[in-house]
Amino acid sequence: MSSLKEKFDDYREEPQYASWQQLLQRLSTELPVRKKRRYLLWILPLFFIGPLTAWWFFSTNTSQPLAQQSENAIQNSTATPEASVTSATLQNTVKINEAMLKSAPNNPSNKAAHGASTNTNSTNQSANSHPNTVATATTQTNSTTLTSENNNSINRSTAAIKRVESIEREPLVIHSTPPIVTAFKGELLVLTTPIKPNTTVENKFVLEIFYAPGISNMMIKTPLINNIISSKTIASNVSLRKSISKMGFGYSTGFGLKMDLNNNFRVKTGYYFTQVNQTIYYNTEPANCHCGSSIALSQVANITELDMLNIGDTISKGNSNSFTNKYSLREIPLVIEYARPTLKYPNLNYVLNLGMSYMYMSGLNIITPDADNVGFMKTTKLGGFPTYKDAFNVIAGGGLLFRAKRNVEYMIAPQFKLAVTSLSKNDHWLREYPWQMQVAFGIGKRF
Amino acid sequence: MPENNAELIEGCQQNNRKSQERLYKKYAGLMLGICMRYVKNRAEAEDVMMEGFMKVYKLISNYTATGSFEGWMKRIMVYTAIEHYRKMSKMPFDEFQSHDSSVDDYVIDSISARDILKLMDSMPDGYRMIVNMYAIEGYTHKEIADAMGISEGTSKSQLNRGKLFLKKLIEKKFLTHTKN
Repeated sequence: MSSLKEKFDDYREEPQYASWQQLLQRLSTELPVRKKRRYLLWILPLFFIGPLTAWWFFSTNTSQPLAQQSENAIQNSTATPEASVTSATLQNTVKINEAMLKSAPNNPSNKAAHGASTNTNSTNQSANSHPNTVATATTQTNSTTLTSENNNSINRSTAAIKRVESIEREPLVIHSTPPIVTAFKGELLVLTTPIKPNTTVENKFVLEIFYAPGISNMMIKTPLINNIISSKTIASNVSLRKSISKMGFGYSTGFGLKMDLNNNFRVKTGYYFTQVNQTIYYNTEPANCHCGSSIALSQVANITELDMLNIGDTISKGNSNSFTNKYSLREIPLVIEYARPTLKYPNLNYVLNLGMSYMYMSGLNIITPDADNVGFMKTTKLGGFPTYKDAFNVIAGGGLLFRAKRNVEYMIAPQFKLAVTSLSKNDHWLREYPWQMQVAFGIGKRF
Repeated sequence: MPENNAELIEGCQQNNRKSQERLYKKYAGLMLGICMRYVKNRAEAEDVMMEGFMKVYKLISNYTATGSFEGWMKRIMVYTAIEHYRKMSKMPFDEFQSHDSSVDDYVIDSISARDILKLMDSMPDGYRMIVNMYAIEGYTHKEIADAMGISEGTSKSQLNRGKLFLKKLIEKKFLTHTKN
């Protein structure tokens, strides 16, 4: 019966062509391929930007109410002099004893005076321009006299306000035709909580475009070979790849969106296109190959194989050819930027950057020793050999930022990027970590 | 370019369709050859093979390469065939009886694998399964007993009966023709 075993050792029956299609259908239902949901990675910057935006929004809102409410109070006092008193802690806050204004309807001075009853700035001017001061007052135009003895209410957080003094302005006569006579009497209120400067939304963000040329390389590391793939040839493949690759010139470009956290710190995200280039040196006519100088190319699926060079051949750099391996990457960064003005030139800032970026391969054109050590191969399509996965970079840099105009800034900053996770999908046998040393030139616009 | 198992395994572990297809195309013939020995017709064998491949794809992430990958796949196919058989029918297992059931190797050498396969198709299912597992795959009786849920004694009995049955079939189909 032992020959029965031998008889069936390599016995094969070819399945029908359609059987793979049937299996594929089952695979798609039972083992579906998970689509890469890159948009989920936007969540990472959103985790930062969302709370920061909320913080910014609410912080600017809380800085305004007192001023806004004081303004409302002034308007209330002028618009509804008969309003009842509701505030117990601040009694008689507003007393308008006299306000008289006589002027022609279109007189500019009258307009100015009229403005005092309707906007905070004018009112503050009449209260000696004290930043935390609100003087309640009213005016009457066109020869109308208002006498109000009512206790007008100010609907606000009264704890933030205290009465300091009564102020009274003597009648002022402006000699014009007709003459203008103004009189003012009221109370000076001091807001105990300072009114913050009204920081507006357009100062918070910077949209930046940049171009960063520099040197780059795909760093190859020999992995810890596990028991799944314990092949000497694979290890030598990696060694060969290391020995024949040198750094090349690459670049990054794209746009960044920065948001101020405070005067010194900003958070930045964006979308970068990065080209990592690496020069591969190879010999098409090795010592043990008498095959002429032409390169024979043979197409294998997505792979073009340069079958003139074998793993055992001597790589002679002196008379070898070179090829620039190009890896196109997309990056989504999240960087914290620290900027501090120089002492001598306030518009010029020192800048330090530290952060990371998520990156994925979007294209490639490379020559590499193949996994079976048959020779070298050239591939241009993702999904062929070798396959790649998403990875993360760390980004560090520093430079200068110049605020040329109110809303425009220029940046020059050397930066270093290094992948901290391997780009190779099958990193059991090959690990690739791209790095770049660049100088970034950027221009940003505040909005 | 020759296929690299390590690369295929890596790809399949990552549920890569191309790698799964390559693995299928590389091993489908061999695996179908195994399945054909366990079931009686080709369509059924293809079903078993597909079921086996599904198991391979699902289990490959646990594959630790302690033995050969091909052997691991064959084992999955055999177990899938047994499972299939157990679902389809109940095997009539007899008590152990010893017979001289050996078939001369020279006789088997003169018959093609395809012809033996045809003969095995006419064997009772229980005999065929155990002859396959023991005589071709090289399983021990204990392993067969564990896989099929029977006693070792029953496995030995079925093997003897199966071999005897196969011997008679070979004699009937080939030796009688030779004599004539």
